[in-house]
Amino acid sequence: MDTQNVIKITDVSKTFKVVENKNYTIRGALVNMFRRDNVKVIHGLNNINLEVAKGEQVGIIGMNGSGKSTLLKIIAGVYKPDKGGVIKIEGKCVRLALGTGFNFEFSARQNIYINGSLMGMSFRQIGERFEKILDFSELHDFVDTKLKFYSSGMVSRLAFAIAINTEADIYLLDEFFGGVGDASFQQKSAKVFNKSVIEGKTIINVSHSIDIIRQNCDRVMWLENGNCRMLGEANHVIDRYIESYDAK
Amino acid sequence: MINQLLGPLLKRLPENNKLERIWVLAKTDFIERYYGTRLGIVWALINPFFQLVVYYIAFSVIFAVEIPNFALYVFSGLILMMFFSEATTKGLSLMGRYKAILENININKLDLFYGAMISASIAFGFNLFVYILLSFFFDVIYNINALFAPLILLNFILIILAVQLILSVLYIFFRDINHLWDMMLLLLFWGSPIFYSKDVIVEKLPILLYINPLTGIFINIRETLLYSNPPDWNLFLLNYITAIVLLIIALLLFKRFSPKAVEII
Repeated sequence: MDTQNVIKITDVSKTFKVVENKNYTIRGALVNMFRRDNVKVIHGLNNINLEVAKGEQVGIIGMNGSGKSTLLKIIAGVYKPDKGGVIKIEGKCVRLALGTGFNFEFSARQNIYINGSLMGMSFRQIGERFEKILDFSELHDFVDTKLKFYSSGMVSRLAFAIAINTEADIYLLDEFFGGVGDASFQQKSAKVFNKSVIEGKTIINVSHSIDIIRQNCDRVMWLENGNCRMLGEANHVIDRYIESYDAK
Repeated sequence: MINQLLGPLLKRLPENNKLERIWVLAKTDFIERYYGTRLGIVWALINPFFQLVVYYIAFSVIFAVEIPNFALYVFSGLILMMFFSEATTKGLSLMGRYKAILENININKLDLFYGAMISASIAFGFNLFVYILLSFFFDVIYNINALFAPLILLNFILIILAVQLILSVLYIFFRDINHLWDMMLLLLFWGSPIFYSKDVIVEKLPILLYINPLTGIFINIRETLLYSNPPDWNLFLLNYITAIVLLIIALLLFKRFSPKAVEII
């Protein structure tokens, strides 16, 4: 591949030390002062290597708990990998998961500014895109209503509309297509992430929906218990995944 | 109202997402705190006023304390203490409140604290404004020494920021730290010269001047704003050294442990 790699991760592992029955309190620390902690080490990810070129769409599939979200959080810079792992990211990176980060005591208008600003947009940029966000989310009539009076579908639509209007180079989609709004909105939102709409943006897509991955992604990584079981051309990996799934 | 005051100022600055983000966080925090209720910002003023009446009656009538301009003396102490306890309590659980955002975007976590600090400072500003209005009724005359007050307040803000950061790191590992901190605040409330004078401390418990950084701040604010004296320079220096040392410790702790916050909280 001659294009330049915008994501390059080498030898990334992530272990979580989980202490069973530990509650993070002073009381707990005092009560258990003389008891040896029963530390359980969970290998979230083991030696993952991945290179993603600019403009590429990569899917990540795997069972629950296979490390998909952990990998996205590491790429987003939210989690730190274990020692030895190297992460190189070029450009701004946003992890999109639905229904989070809103303040329900505020109106849509305020939330658009808060969320947009946290995602790295300037007020001027948000102002420019304000109408586009409202158009897309179809929430013109409720722009000054507090979010706590919204239906869950309306909240998701708003989250989606803000997310796709952010200025990011790399989008990390964490189960982002799971039941947003009604059928017509779902069609509309799925289209947005087709290659024709977002050009030059790099997308990593985590989803349980095999269809979405198959439709959109060029390559797929299959994670199993924190290991990379397979990485390659989308249809090939997905077929093997389904075979192993059926065999069980 | 805040928007009208500071919004135009912000527009004149060059486009800077970091400043805007801190501003948005501050505004959110402030609105959340005061505008959800019908009386809004009035609550921020009623509270210290109510406390003032209660404590003033208790101490001037019942205990017969003799301090010149006692009402203002108490009021200044109360609003400073309220500033401290509100800001630190809020800072304690700040990362928990913004967990949903921290999980998705790698923003500088310190921005959250700057935002909360600005919001608390604005609330304090309102109280200070009321104090100054009141002071004209009590014939307080301000002179050049009042110009030292902003420096002392800056010192105070640095101390609060350091305490916030240290508490928020402790909060990662001890979720019930807020109970302990509530008790600590009670200790500080009575261990700082809110109702009694500087002389009482110097006579009976001089160690308070050194172990409780609030003492020096409270004394110097009164000297400059209430009694038109220059600040006590020894305390002034000591407080700045305390603030800087605390802040360095706080920042080191924060840098070391805050990446863990998203995983544990």
